[in-house]
Amino acid sequence: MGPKPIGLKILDILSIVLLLIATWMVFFYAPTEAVMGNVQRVFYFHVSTAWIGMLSFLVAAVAGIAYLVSKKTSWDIVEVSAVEIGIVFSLIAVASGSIWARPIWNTWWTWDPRLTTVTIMILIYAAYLLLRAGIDDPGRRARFGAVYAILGFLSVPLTFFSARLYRTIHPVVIGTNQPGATGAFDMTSDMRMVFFFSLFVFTLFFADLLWHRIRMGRLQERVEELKLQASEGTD
Amino acid sequence: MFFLLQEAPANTTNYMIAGYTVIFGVILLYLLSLYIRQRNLKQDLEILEEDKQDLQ
Repeated sequence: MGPKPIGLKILDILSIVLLLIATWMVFFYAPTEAVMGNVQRVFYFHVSTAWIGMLSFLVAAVAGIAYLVSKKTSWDIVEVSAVEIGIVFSLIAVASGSIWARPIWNTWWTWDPRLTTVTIMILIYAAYLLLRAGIDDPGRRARFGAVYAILGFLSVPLTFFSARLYRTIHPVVIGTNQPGATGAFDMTSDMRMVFFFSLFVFTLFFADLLWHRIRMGRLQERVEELKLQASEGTD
Repeated sequence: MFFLLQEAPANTTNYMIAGYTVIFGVILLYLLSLYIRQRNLKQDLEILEEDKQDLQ
């Protein structure tokens, strides 16, 4: 693996600076919500991390298609990198949402359609990583991963639309809330600005993380190649 | 005088702190895991390349 490209260095610095600005805006710029109080501030990064989770799985599905078409292992690396990041950010979204729910819904967890579908989505992708780890042949592993990432993506729109199609207490940001939605609020212009800025910053951060993870994947591929050569040489 | 009749927002600051602790904590853990895995892979690569040179 060569030295860190200048583009990645710039993206690193930009991500850190913008994340700090977004954090400052969440705590000091955004107004306190009139009913929920300070816990509403969790919303800005909760939605942003959930967005990154879903975006990652979309990237993985696209990379899966690209792999099946081109058979280039670089797409397989993009795919597994995106899935890993997607799982991490989806878990953050679930955990932060659960903490928000405790004072607002009076419970840490409920088997509401949105929470159920997001759990299924995370389990599907966790199984992807586990099953991949069980396949030794790189070609077979990549083919299997590509098909799985494409099929697994079906769980993403299901999760996204679950709070819009089914009777749920989970509020939505875009679209009309269900009658039973608890914790919904009208965003002021300042809140909207912090919200969209956070989404933008996390998208940039995702690009940065993905680039790092892909570089690590290439390194891993090189190590596996050398290990294979070494084992063939000793046979 | 209307503002005197308004109820103050609920005191949910502790939940906000817990929420952001989890958000930043998990992100930092993931960054640490990336760093450690990358460092280990670089070490493995160095050893394997040395072995390969020795064999040649």
